[in-house]
Amino acid sequence: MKKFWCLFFIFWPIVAIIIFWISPGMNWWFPGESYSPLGAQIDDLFYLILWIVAVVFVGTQIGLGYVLWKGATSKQDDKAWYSHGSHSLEVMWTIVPAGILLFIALYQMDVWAQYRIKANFPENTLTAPIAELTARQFEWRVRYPHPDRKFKSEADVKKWLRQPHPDDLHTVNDLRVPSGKPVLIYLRTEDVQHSFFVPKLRVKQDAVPGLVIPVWFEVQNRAGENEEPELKGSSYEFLCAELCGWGHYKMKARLVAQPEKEFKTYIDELQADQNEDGVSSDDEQE
Amino acid sequence: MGIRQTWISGMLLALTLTGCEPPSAQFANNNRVSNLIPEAQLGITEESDGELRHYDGVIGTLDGSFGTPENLIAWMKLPIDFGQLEGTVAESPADVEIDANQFYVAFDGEQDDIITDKQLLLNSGEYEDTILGITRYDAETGLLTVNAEFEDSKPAAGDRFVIVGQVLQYGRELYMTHCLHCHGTTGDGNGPTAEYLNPRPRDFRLGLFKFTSTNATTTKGARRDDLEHVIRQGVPGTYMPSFLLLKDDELHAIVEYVRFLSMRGQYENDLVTILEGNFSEDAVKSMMEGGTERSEIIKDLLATLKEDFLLDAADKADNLARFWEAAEDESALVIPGKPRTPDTPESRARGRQLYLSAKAKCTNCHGVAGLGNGPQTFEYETDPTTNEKRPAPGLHDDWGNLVKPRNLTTGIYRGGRRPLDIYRRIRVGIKGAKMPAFGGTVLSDDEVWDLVNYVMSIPYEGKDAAPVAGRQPAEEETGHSENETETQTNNPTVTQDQVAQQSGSGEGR
Repeated sequence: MKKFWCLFFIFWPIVAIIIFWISPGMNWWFPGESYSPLGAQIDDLFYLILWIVAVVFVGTQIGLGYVLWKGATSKQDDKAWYSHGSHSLEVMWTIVPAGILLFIALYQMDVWAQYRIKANFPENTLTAPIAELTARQFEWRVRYPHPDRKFKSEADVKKWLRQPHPDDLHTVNDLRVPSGKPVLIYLRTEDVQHSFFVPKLRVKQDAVPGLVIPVWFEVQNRAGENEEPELKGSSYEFLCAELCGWGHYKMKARLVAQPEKEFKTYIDELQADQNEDGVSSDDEQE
Repeated sequence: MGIRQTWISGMLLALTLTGCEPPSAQFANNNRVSNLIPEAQLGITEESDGELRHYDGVIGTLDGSFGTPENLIAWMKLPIDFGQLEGTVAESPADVEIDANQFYVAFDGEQDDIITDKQLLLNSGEYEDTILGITRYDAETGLLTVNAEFEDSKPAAGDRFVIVGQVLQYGRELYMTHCLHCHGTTGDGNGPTAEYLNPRPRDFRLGLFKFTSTNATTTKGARRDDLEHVIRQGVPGTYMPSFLLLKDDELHAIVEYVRFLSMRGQYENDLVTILEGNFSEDAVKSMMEGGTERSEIIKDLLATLKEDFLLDAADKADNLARFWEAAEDESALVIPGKPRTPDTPESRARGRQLYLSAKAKCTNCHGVAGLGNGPQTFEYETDPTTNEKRPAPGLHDDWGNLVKPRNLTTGIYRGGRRPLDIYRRIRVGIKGAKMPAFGGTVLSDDEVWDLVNYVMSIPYEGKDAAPVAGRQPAEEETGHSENETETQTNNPTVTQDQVAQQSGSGEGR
């Protein structure tokens, strides 16, 4: 019976390792490739941590298995004995993990800074926001500045964010951005906390009541499976990643990245639609 | 483990398993139905010549025409796209063995609707008029599995069949996923979450929808396009979110199902109205006080149910079909007679004068400053059903809910923010609510556009929110006259102040 339990506890880590080993190939729960340059760096961090964790997991399981097996096969009939432990061993298993954590903390700083610290944002994105994205229960409302509106400074952008303008363009659940260059949106929420999450771009940012948070990302021109000819661009699902109420699951929308020219056309069309008076555009069609 | 523990864990296991069975969905009856005497609700069974015959009351008639959520009926009298697929029984390949409840079919034209659980009606050959339930369909081979076994001969190749209602049923499934928890199984705006929402979710049963594009004098109905627009865009300022990502066929199916629920609710009201006069609990009580025997009244009801009720119900159904067809008619669509007046300070000033005038009466509800706090919101209204004063002051919609006139300073427009949408709100009104329709005679097109320009400028009055100077591309494309584009290049900040000054002095504040 002793051996049974020993084998039982050794069996499960082996199953876990096999499943982990085959899952990338089976396309189970590993993220597919990222469609943004920063996302690729975030993926590198993810895989680095995964390797560290894998080595630690395998090591501890082998150790555990060895100890169990040794105990199970031991012929001696010794009683358990009390030990104060090993001081040097404790120092080791404190310092080594601390060192690893410190390494991860320092190693990821660069990516974090690129993504989160304004001073490191790609040039000119802060004063040329694509849109303001407002989360609300349970949808995403998008407000684009008029294409001719040029912001001189960040203060100018803040002024625009504080007050809606008559020439703003509005849509819902459909965020369009030009592809192949860094773009920035300002994220806010109308009610409770939400989270803007584009899995394929590895973008995730909470929308916090009272804050207007700049989020930048870049969608690569390579569209692959996301290509949607009807939308003249590539389409990525984005959703709310913070349980925000009973309709949380409804907060699914699409982000469409289009080549610059198509994006301009879209904004022009949006503007025509926004000024729709039911008469003028009919003439156009005829 | 003691007996008690075993027993408790057994109960816990049973509890977890019982939760897995989905409850069966049912349409709820309108409150008005319960005002009728039970016989009028449920019908009367009569014995004549040793035979029992049942004459349906309101509930039976209604369910007979619309079915239950799990067994919907496609009542072809109604202008609903229930979905209809026709096809032919095909030859079975010689080398394939199939079961007694299977045969091959070929559809006319393309077929990508889900047809599992739908019913199939054979309308030619040996099994003419046989209805079969589809349990499985293999789209690649065309092999159909049904819920009946054919012992001797199967439907022969070449027999025609028809499947009806697949769009409606698809709509029901989608409705159950996306809409039910607010709008309720019956479409009565009473789903599980409805209680916590303000404004309340729409109750479809009156057949009224607030934001429509149909002429209010010819129809009170809504077009399919109106419903689609609301589902796609959501209703800002309410809990109705946007369902933009629904595919076109999904959207169509949901719209048809919503119309179906709406028609069911209207028909239910109609049926109650037919019997309410003589056979409501109150009416019967007063008749009995007047000395009439209850058995007399029941006899009377039976005679009504046998003939007049059916005739009246058929009339009502015709009216119902006409009501919805009228909305789809091109002539019902409200389109402005002329393009939007350029958004000039003069136009806004004229709009403001109209807004304040006794002709348009906007201030009665929306208030002088557009805050939605006009004097009407302090009045006690009379409830049209009871003829008593409402308990709370303010405006009520046809559903009896307290509604606030729109605060025009927020820039949130529930029915849409395009100039066309605002134009239609003024021309069409908000059906079921107190916003009246200013038809062609009250306000001219020019006047409505002036009002639109003014209303759209209210959120920016006196605020530093200047539009970008320069011509707007959309204006260029529409090919307005030179004069119009010139006015666009004016500095709007200045012009807004002018408007404010003009209106301020005009009012003498």
